[in-house]
Amino acid sequence: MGDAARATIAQYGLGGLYKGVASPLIGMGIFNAVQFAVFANIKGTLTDNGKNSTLNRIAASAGLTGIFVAFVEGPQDLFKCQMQMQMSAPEAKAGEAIVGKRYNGTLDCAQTILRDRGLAGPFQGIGATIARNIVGVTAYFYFYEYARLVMAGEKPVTSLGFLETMLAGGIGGVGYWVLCYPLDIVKTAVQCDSIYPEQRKYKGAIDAFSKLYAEGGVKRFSAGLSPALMRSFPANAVGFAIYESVKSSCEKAGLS
Amino acid sequence: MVLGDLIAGTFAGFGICAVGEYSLYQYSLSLFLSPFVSFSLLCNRSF
Repeated sequence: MGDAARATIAQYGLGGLYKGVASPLIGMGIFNAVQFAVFANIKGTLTDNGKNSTLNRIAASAGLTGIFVAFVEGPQDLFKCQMQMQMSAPEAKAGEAIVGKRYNGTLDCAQTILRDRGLAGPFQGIGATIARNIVGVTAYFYFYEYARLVMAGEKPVTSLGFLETMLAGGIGGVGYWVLCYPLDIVKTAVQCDSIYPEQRKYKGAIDAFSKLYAEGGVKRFSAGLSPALMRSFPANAVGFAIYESVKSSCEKAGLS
Repeated sequence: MVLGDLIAGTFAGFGICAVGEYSLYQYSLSLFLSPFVSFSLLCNRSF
């Protein structure tokens, strides 16, 4: 990793480390804006604007948020999976048929899926995405809120400092991946499958689960969990801390 | 609080992306933050 970083900096400068950052940055910005806003509003409704804020109601709010955001996240993930599959597919040699679809970027991928598969096309694997999100998003906000309550003790959670919020956010992020990772493996398998039903390896999420289990047993559903956790803790620690800080500033500025 | 949540969520997304998507930044930040997070947890206090 050190060599790669040095080579990148030597060739492109420090900015090279952030090459291609705009697209995921915008995607993550939009997705998290929707996720946090939907959660805050559902939580507000279910907890009577915080007057009846129990962990069960927070979990229910998070689960419902997961279902809602699946319809935003599902197509985003599908395009990403399809692009990654074509990048990892071997290039066809002269005279060989091209295996799978070739896209000229994410927009072309989205347009092709819409054109060939209609409006349902971008929602390939939506059932698995919803299942993953019900478990994952519930864990995400539940563990975050639970950690904040434990750290706050008798004090209100709003009295927590930046680092405590970061710690709670990191715990939320880890909780998300630990609980939903097997479902994420199934969802990814379904979304990385062909967009054309006749060429698909899996008939659906349950079929994908059975075949993946047959391939590698229980271990197949935890492959790659460690890097996901290493990434998730700092990323969500920063994410939640920024969210609480900016939200507090917005409230002070009267933005609602 | 829709507007405030949308703005805060957008910035949170930027933060998650900046830290989570880029390995070098992610690991250096992780290494930098770990002692502070651990210390904060041990002392049960914020800075």
